[in-house]
Amino acid sequence: MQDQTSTYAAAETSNVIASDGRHIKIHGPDAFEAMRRAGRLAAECLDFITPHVQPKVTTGRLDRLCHDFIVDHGAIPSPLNYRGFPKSICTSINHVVCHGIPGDKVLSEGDVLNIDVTVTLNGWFGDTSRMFPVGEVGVKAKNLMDVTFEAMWEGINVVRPGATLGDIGHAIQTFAESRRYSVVRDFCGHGLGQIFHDAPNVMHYGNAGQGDVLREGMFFTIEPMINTGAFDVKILEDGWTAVTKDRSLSAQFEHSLGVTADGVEVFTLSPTGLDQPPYKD
Amino acid sequence: MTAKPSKDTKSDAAGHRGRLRERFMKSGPSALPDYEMLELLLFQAQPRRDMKALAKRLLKKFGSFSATISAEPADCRLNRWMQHKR
Repeated sequence: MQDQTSTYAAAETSNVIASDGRHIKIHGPDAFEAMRRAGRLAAECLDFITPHVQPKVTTGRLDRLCHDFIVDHGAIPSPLNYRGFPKSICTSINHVVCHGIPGDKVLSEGDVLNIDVTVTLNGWFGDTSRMFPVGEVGVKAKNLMDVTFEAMWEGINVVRPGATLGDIGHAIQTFAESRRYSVVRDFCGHGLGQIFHDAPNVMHYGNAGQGDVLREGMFFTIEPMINTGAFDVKILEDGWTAVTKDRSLSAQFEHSLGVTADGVEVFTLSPTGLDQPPYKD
Repeated sequence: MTAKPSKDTKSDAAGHRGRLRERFMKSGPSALPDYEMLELLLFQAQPRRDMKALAKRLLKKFGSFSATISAEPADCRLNRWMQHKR
């Protein structure tokens, strides 16, 4: 969120060893610039698709629109064929936690939908997702979306050099559970850059002060999945779609970000201010 | 797109696919029992499900690795999941 000037001079591309033995990349100023472009395109794609999220629209149509938007802007929809994922975006409706596969499913009034977009632009990954209410949604769904959005920002706001990954998880978990929601354990945020899913794993729950220490130049996503019921999930037979075991509602927001000298830069903010529903004028 | 935590979990399954591939690359097929060779092939068809039990069931049904990989697809339908695949 800070203005980027010469603060990355010391952040040459290198690695630090995480507690799990994986290498966390430390990026320099050129990488920040590349991530700004990739992140902005991913955010623009969500802005573009926003008016198309309407009752009676299929998730397959949203997928095709996003695919064409991304390709027309000189990028690649990263999920397409990633480990066998068959579509260009993830569309997760109501009790679907994440990795919903677009298809013939028709959106209905009152549904809540997460659209997760990742683009590869010049080899760099921009990854973001937002919740979309379909028509008028109930109070329960609205509250869940609001709390999930706030929980994500609780996590983002603790990011700075010297903080730990545990601080992020603790901030998100504390906030969500204080509102009597649960935080999904089976999926996490991740490092990214020139690799889609890289170290570190960014858990959305945890203890303050624990885990790897954040350093300037690290890139990762924060993307909490918050449920109205229990946090348990199961994977459907397509091998991808994760749903809440108790079929309670689930919501998720996601940003890609980089650790700066004095805080955090979010790469995937909406250029038109469509960061949080409702998206009406 | 959300990630699945793997390397920092305590589960035995974490990193199983990577370890198996590494053993195969390092020591070749003779270092792996038939069910693990079959697992390596099944990994390509399914991104995240445990393939060990399925590999063992297929070997039990067809009797050998070679008989399994040359079996007719229709004969491989051991469970509901496989009926969705061609």
